[in-house]
Amino acid sequence: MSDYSFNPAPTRRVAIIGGNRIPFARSNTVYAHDSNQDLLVAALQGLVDRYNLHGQRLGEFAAGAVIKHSRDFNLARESLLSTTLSPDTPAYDVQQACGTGLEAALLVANKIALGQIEVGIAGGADTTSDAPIGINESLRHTLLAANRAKGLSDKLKTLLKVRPAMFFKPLLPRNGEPRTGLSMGEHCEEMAKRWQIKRLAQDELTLTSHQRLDAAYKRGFFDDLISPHRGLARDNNLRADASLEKLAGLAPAYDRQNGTLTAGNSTPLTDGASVVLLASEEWAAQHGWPVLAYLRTGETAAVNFVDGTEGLLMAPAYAVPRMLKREGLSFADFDFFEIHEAFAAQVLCTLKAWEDPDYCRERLGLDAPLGAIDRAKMNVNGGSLGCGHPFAATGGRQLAALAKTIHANGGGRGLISICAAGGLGITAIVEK
Amino acid sequence: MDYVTQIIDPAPTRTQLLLDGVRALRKTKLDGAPLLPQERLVRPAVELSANDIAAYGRACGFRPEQGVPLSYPHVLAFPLHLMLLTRPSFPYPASGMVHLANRIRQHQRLQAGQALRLEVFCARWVAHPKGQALSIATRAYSGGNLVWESDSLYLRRDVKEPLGEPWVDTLPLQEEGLMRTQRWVLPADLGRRFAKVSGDFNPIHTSLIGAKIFGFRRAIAHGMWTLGRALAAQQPPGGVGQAEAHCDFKLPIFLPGQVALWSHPVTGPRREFEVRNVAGDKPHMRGLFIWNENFK
Repeated sequence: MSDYSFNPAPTRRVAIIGGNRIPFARSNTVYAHDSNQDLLVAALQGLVDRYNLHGQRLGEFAAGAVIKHSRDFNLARESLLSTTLSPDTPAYDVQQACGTGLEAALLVANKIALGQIEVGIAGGADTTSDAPIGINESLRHTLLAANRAKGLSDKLKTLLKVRPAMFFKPLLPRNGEPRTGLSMGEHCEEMAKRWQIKRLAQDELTLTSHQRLDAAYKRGFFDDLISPHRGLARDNNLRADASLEKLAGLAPAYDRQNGTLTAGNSTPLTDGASVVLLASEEWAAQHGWPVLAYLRTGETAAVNFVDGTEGLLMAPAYAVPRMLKREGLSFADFDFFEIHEAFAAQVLCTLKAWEDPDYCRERLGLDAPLGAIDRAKMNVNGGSLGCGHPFAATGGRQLAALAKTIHANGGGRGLISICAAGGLGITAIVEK
Repeated sequence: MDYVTQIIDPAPTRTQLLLDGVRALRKTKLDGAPLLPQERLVRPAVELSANDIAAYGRACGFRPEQGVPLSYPHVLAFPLHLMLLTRPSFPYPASGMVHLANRIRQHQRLQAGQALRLEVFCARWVAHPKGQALSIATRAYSGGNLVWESDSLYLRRDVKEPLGEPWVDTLPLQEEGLMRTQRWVLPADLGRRFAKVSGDFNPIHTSLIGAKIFGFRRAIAHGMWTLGRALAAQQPPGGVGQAEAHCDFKLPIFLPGQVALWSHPVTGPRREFEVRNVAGDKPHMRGLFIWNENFK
């Protein structure tokens, strides 16, 4: 027998104590001059204020952003140093496209479960307003060559290759999959066609998202989940007066002739940040905080979208049944579903896939389809279509809202599902 | 047919090819049927240079892990193609020859650093509905073994009663289930970039004025770039051993522009595809790519 063992200790339950986010703002609006760090600091400081964590040394802070400047290399740590948390709290960056926030939470939770830390914060921020614009590639290569050149004359000779045109053709961030050149909307349009998702169904889902978000604000659901920022107190993408007629009037955005995806039933580019406080039950009890819910487990999946055999955003369809099988659960065991709405069509494709016997058998290897999800249990406090989707901040938003929903319900079980660029899917189970 | 083997060493310079090209702009009118040129041009040892392959790969979108691009040896043979087309023995002006199709077969995996013996010769006349076509054969040997070969079909338009077997080798494409799997944004200087790595400085690709002189409203992408880009999009990681890439060129791609790759959502080592405009109603190139799974 090997005398090596990593950690034979039994795992512990991971408590979700609470969360905080700033209101999400459409790109180039209220947070136009905020960096990722500004947004993350605002969300994190709000959490520290709410849970009175000033000066405390926590186990760790894990967070990330999807669209990053090179200066953001230590974004989580730098953000932490701008708050009133103890500077002795370690931090690290995580990046898994739109799954960043939830993956960060799973990482922190696993350390708590293993007894390595008692308490930690997970989060994410993203801004597409303060996007990194790179210098022209030819200019960059020339500058790097000049840097490598030995001696002044060689350096100057290299710099003579700089052309004025290089300054006017910067490297812009792309809204496209690196391997296909297609935007996420174009990929999702393809999925909608494959699954024959109707425009009306997408618009209805969108309307529900706005209406439920608005209702949640009205009954004060977000009062202890959101800290105002830059004078914004609620998500400015929210259209309380949205209607099917208005949504029906929007032109298709990705396929003008035959498309069904519009600016209404797709999430807009959004700026924002969110964080979640996770701890052991002992820590929660010591500090007198009630446990909203427990983060039970997570599962990630990936699909081969490059050759078109699977849709870009279909990975959660695979992750969820794997996780349910591992945990011995079925949809009937769930009271709430938090499905990230990147596009209404992507949600509907996933739901349809789980109901399709052929797909469930051939692709997911299931004897019987997973079945339908009761829409009354799905995204009960609104979803990304209503509040917007600052990529890395969505997981934290969903996790905190779901935990609070379960707590307010007096218990229950919820599923989180997030699709992400690169054919990734990140899912988790929350319960109490 | 008996070929006269000529060793070409060193490789022709760009200036020499340019001068030959200018000289070959005009040809005396043919009296009777054209004769197939009998030269076989041979470069005894051309190195597959890692740096040149990398530059070619960057221009087409290949990744280093894909190994030597299947379409790369064509670049090494291209100067010999030009030499054949611009020789006095060639019956038509070189500038009017349109690259119609290419059939590539690789028999063995190629490695950077390897030396190839390249042989290029006019293989046969082909009777095309639009004029007289000619197949130029390229054969690459390593250690006496044929490792890579291609047949390039060039067309001289508007030749009446063309010689040779009729052109029938068109590629199949199952329309049903075809979907847009990729989109490529082509910059205005793509022709100049590809010219640098391929040695094909034909002005229809590298400059607006050059393109206009030869009757195009804008510069057009090299057909062999389009093939390279399509293979880069589909060649598996780890490179290919035995493989085939066939393409038929259709409508020109104007620069700058956007095109899309249309293919079937299948995994496995056989792909039928088409490069089309983004809307998907106009074809630029149809292709077939077959390879041996390298992990089996």
